[in-house]
Amino acid sequence: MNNDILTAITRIEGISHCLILTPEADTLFSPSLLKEENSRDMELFLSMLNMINELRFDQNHQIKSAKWNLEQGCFIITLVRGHTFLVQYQGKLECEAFFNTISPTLEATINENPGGEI
Amino acid sequence: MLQSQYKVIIVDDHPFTIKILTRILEKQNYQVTGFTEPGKALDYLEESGENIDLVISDIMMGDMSGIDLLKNVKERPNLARIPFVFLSAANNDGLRQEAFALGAIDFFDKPVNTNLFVSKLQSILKNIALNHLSSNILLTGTKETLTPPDILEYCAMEKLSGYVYFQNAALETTLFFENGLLEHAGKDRELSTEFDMLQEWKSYTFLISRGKLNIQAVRLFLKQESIQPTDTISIEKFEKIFNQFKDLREIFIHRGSWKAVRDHANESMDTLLANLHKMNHQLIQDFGARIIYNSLRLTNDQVILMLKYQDHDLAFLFNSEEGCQALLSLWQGVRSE
Repeated sequence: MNNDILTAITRIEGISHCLILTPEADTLFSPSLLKEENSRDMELFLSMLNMINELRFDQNHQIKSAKWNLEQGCFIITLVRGHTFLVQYQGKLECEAFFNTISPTLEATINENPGGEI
Repeated sequence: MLQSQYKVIIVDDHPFTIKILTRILEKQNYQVTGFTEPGKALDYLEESGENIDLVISDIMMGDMSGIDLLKNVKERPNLARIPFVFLSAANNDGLRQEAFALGAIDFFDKPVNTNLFVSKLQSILKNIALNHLSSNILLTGTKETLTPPDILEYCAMEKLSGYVYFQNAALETTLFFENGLLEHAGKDRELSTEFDMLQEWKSYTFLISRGKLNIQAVRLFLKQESIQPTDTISIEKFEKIFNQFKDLREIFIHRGSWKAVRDHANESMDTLLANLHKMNHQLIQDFGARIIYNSLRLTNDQVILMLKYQDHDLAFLFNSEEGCQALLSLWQGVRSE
C-alpha cells in the first residue's frame, strides 16, 4: 500500500520526488530518489526532513503544512495524521492547487485504511 | 579566556563512532573529548562543564542512556546551559519528542551524512556562540565613540573582568582586563606596544565583553552589525499594507532577531520564525537553494509567509490563506517588474 501511494503521487504531472515519514518513523522514498544520479536530491530531502522536526516540535504552534518556492522547483511538506509527506514539484505557483488536491486525497486514503498503515 | 576553538564532547558506547566523529570534527578545528561511558562524561562535565560548547550523545548506551545524561545535566544549574544534540540509530519519534522536550537542540539519525552533520554543527555552534556573546557584551562602538583612553576609563568604572576586542580594515587585537585593570594583550604581545598601536589607528570598531571570548563569534557579530540594514521601511508603509490586507495580523522584520511591527511585545512567534529562518539559511548555504518565498500553514489555519523584499527579511502572519495569496500575487507582480 505504501508503494502504491508513492507511485500514485509521483505519477502526478510535475512531481519529481516524494518521501513519506510514517508515525512508526519508517522513511519511504519514491524510486526516483533512490537513483544514484539523484543522490544530491536525496541529501536535500533528508536534510529538509531533519530540519522540519525543529519546526514540528515548536511548543506554541502546530504546523499543518509548509511550502518552499525555490527557483529550482517547489517543496511541499504536509502532515496528515502523523504522516509527513515531502514532495518536490516542478513549477512555481501551481503548488497551492496541488496541496489543495492532494491533502484530502491522502487523508481519505488513510481513513480508508485504519490502523496507521497506508 | 580567549577562545578560538569550540570544545565538544562526544558520548557513544561505540569507540569507533567516537573515533570517526573526532576525526571529522578535529578537521574543523574543534577540540573534541570522547567518552564511551555516560557516567564518566557527566563527571568530566562537572569538572569543566562551563567551558564546554556542545555535547553530542548517543541515546542507547549501557549504564545510562543519552536521555538520562541530558536529564542529569539539566538538573545541575551550572551545566544546564550546555547544548545537547543526539545522534542515534533509534529511529523513534517518541524518543525525539522526549529529547526535544528536555531541551535537546537537534537529533541526527545514524547513519549520518557527514557533510550535512558538520554543516549543521557549524551552524548550531555559531548560533550558540553568538547568543552567548550577545549576553556578555557590555558595549560596542567605533573610535569616534570611544578613544583608547576612554575605553580604559570605561573598563575601570565597570570593574571589567573580560576583553576588549578591536578591529580595523586590516588588523585586530584584544586587551584583557581583570577587575577593571588592563592586564595583558594576548600571548607574546607587549601591552604598551598594542596600546600605542591602537592610538595610531585612524579608525576601529571595538567590542567590550565580560567573561570568555570566542574570537570567531566576535568577528561574526561585528560583521553582522556592520551590515545591519538601516530602517528604511517606514511605519506608514506598513500601515498601508495592513489596510490593504484585512486578514493580515502581524508583520515581522528581521533585525538580528524578529521584530513585530504592530505589537512590539509579541514574542509568541519568535522560536518558530527563528527556526524557519535558520532552515532557509541552511538550504541556501548547504544546497545553494535560491528561495523565492516560503510559507507555513498552522493547524489554526493561520499562515506565515516569509520572503525577502529589497534586502529585508520579512514575515507576514495571516488569519487565512486568502490574504496570503493576495499579498503573494501583488508581490510577484512587483518582483517581476
